[in-house]
Amino acid sequence: MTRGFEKILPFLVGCLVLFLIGPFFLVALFSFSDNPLSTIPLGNLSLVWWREMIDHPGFASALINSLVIAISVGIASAIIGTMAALALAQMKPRAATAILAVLSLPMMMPPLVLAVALLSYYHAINLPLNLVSVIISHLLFTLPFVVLVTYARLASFDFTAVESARDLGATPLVAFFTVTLPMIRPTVIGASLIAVALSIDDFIITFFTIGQGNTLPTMVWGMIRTQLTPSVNAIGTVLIVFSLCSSVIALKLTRYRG
Amino acid sequence: MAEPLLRLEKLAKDFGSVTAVKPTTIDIDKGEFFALLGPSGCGKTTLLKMIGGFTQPQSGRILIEGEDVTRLGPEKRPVNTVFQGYGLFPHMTVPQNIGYGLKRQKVSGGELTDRVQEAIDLVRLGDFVNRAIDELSGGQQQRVALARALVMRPKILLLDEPLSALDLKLRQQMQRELRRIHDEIGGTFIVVTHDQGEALSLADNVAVMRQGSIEQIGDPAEVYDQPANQFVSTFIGEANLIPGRRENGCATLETGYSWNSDGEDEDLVCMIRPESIEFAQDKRSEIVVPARLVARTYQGATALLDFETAAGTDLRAVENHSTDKTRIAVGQDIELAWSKADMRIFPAEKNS
Amino acid sequence: MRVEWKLRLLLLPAFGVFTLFFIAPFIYFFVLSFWSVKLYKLSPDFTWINYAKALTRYIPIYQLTFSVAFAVALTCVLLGLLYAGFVRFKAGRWATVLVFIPLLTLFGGYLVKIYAWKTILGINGILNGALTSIGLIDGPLTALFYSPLAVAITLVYFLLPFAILPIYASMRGIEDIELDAARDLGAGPWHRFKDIIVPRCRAGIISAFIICFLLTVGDYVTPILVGGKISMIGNMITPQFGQKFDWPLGAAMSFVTLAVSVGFVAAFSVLISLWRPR
Repeated sequence: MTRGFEKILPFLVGCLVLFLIGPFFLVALFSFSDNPLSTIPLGNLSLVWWREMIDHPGFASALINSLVIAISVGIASAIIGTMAALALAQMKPRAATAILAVLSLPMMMPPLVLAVALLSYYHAINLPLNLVSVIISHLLFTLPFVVLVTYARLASFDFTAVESARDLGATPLVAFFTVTLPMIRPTVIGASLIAVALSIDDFIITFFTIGQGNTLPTMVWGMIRTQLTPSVNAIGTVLIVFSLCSSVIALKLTRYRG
Repeated sequence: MAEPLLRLEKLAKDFGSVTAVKPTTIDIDKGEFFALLGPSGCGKTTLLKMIGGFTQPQSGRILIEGEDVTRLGPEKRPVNTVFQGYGLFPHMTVPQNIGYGLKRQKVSGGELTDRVQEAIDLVRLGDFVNRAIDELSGGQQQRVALARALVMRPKILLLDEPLSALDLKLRQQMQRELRRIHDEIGGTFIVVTHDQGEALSLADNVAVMRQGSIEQIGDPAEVYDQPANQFVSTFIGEANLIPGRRENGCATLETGYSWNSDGEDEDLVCMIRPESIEFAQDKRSEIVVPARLVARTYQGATALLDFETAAGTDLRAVENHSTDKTRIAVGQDIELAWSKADMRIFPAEKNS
Repeated sequence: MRVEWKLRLLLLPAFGVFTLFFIAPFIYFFVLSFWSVKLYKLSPDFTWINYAKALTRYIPIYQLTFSVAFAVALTCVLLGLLYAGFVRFKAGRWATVLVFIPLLTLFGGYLVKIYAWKTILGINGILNGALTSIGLIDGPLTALFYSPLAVAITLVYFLLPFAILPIYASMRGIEDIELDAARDLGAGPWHRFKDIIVPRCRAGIISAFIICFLLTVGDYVTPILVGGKISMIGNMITPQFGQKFDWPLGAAMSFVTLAVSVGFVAAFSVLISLWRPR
């Protein structure tokens, strides 16, 4: 029995690969087809849904909101995360691992619970719901990623290079900007791109903490729930391409493998 | 003649375009301690893995007690392996590691405990049985790996570079241990090693391999004293090589000695071991070569002397401090001598 | 080790964000779960009524939610073991590509991923279209769509990368010779899997299960898009923060959900830890 299982194993994995990437291709495919039902037969090649997406009254502002949030989250989590990773790298591994585990708790939370807890808290402290509240909320689940990835890089970092710089007269700050940062820059950029991807993609937490206005995912949500137009496929493709690009670059830069 | 315990028949393996093992035939008898010796990449590990069942040969057969096991997986062969790096199971205790294979054979209860204990005693693990695997030192892990394989009572025990991870002292100690265990259980061991000293001191018979083929098989004294070719002579022990040439039935060495020799015209090489070179000040031998001492390396009971002949040949000799009472000074010209019987003549090899 | 105290200051912003916007909200949220709502206004109070409601009113929903979550998490762990095991031990030179696929699908397209399954499984979806056009069925099948199965398939699809990656990461700690050694000692494929691979990637299996379980429990988008009339607990929590305006009840439901989830996850972790080679 097990022998037979070993034989069909590659086939099963092939099915899983198809399962993992097939739906992405479907969405992209439908966005270029004039079939209004998003089904088979595909219909003719057409850019009508892309046209409709661009003409959609809320599209431009949602795109801009998404970009503003994602870029702010990327920069903020890169700075805060790198600082934290630097501190952790100087600690005993056991302590650092414990702190990392604690900081990762928000990633473990069901997003809905995190979202409603934040919503009620913002209400209680009178923090207005706008892009700022979204950015802060996103930081909660992007920071752990950045800290984790950057810390992993620093674990293999040769700190004698920094010590040499100090020995040659550099202040700690100068040493950081002239030695440490240039050496870990690819990782930091990669990690913050992961943060950007997570931020652009987030729906649940954004939905509860944005108040007025839309990002691309909340706009998609509105469209799915109401009119059901295939231009959702076009926006979906945009979202996928965004996050795919940032993940590919991020993975290349960080060499992060799980 | 009795049937050998293990017979490899024209066993061959290549990985794509790279030949790992050329068709090889070896017989190994019961109770033998056999070493596969060669530089890295010579195919010795591939050969061992084919015997263990981890690599399928392209052609040829493996017979154990006359039975063809070529197509059997490692789990079905009556051989067990001590892996390089050991491959211990870090999530199990020492006795669980050792008992794992027995459980697969459905051995249980008292017999299991007894056999595990027997194996622990055999490899002298002593008090370390209660430690976690990653708390054991390299030598202790080595003993667990040995016990884990030996408890299976394999017809043949395969050892892949068993001592390479240990430091010198421990390595020598484990060499004695391996030999003791081998003699105690009367087993058949095949060891793969790149360390010629290890092979010579451990094994009853040594196969010297190069580039996928076996250059020579023999007992340690044989391969040392009568190497089959230039490669074997230099790979095992230390060797002085003196270039020479045979032309018209007369062979001549670079250092200026000639004799009659039948055969085609070709480049030759003459091998002489350092300890066979004598200092002509003391004795007279057949071959005498004037040389100047250029360096002396002190080694305790002996010293290594590096000479240069007038022809520019480098020669190394051994000065024995208990018998050679006179000291030759660096820069001093003396005469080196050896007897023709100690000399081996091989066709010259280009790249070795 | 020398730790300059100044270096510890570098942790301050991260801890600040964490304390102010994670710890504090949850403490407040917990307090809130004991408050009450009077005349559409939150009113500080100490009442167990929210927990009483949360525990009694939604029992079938909890049952469904946790069954789906358990099924999804277990499926993801099993498929993750299969995929990661293949990549780690069998794939050879394909390994790099195969490990890249879950990594790429990890970070993007939450809504789009769910939406894609609506187009696949829906009444006018591809599956029905394909089955009708080859004549296997006459009209559209509704059993697939708008069912717990559709919810589970969609969630497995979304969560599988989250399961594959931690399992694969812990499998990289297993050395090939450990499996060779087991084989040498007579272990067939099943024993190698159960005695070596599973116990050695315990940590990966547990974190895969935790992530998949918790994300399923909190999900309310999938039931809305592909579940039809199926509701999970998330679909009961969201209205409390919308038209029903009963935040304290929503908070109590959230904490009940969290508590039960922690129980499930802990039980699973203990079970896996008890998994011993025999």
